[in-house]
Amino acid sequence: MTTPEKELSPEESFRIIQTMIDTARHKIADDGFHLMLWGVLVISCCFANYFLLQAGAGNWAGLPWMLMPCIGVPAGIAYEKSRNKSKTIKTHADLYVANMWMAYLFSLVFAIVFCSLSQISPVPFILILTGMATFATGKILKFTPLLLGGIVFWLSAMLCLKVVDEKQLLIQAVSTFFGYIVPGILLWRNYKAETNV
Amino acid sequence: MFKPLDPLLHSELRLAAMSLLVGLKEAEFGFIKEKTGATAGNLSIQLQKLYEANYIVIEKSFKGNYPLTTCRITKKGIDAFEKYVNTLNAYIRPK
Repeated sequence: MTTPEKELSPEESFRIIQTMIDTARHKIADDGFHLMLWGVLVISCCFANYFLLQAGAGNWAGLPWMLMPCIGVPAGIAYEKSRNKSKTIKTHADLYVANMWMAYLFSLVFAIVFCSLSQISPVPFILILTGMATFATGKILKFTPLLLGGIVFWLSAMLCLKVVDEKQLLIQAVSTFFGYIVPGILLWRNYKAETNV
Repeated sequence: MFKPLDPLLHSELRLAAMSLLVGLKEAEFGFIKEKTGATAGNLSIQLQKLYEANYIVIEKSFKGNYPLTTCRITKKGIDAFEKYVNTLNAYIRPK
C-alpha cells in the first residue's frame, strides 16, 4: 500500500530539492587512506634509497622503489574491497579522482622511463606530476590541505634544481609528508567525524 | 500561462529520491530510504515508477550474502529534473 500523495506547493518542492541536494553534496568522497598509505611508502623508499646510495649500493639503491608497488597495490585493493562493503553511495567525485590518479600513474611511468633513458634524476618530474594530481584532487574534493599539498610538491620540484640528486630524495620525503600524509590524516579525521554522526 | 509540472516528479518522495540521485553517481536503496525517511515498501513503489519512466536505473546484486539494490539517475531523468526545476522557477518567479 502506498502513502497517499500530498499536493506540493512550488516552495515545498524547492525545499525538498535543496535539502536532498545538500545531503548528497556534503558526503566526503575520500577518507584519505590511500594518501597515508602511499605517503608512508614513498617516504620509506626515499630514505631507503638515500641510505643505500650513502652506503655505496650503486644500481641496487633504487630497489625499494621496485618493491613499493608490491606492498601498496595489494594493500590498496584490499582496503577498497573492505570499504566497498560499508559504502552506500558512489559520488561523481569518486570517479573523477580515480580517473585522474590513473592518468597520473601513466604519466609517472612515462616520466620515469624518459628520465632513465636520458640519465637524469626523475625526482623533479615526479614532484611536478604529483603536485598536479594532488592539487586537482584538492579542487575536486574542495579540500584546501590538498591544494596546499600540491603547491608544496611544485615548490619542492623547483628546490630540487638547487641540490644534488641524492638530496632530492630528502626533499621528496619532506614534501610527501606535507603533500600526502598531513592532508591524508585531516581527510581521515573529517571522514570519521562525518560517518560517526 | 504556466507550463504543467511533470506529475512523476511532482510528488514528495519521488522528488526527494531524484534530488538525491542527481548529485550522486549511484546510491543504495538503504541510503535513499534513510535520507528520505520513507518506508521500504513505499520507497520501492515510487522508485519503480521512476524506473518505468526510464528516469532511473535500478540494479539488483548481492553484497556478501545480502541482496543489494542500487539506483542511478539516467540522462532522461536528469533532463526531466532540469525541466521540472525550470518550470518550478517560473511558478515562483513569473516574468
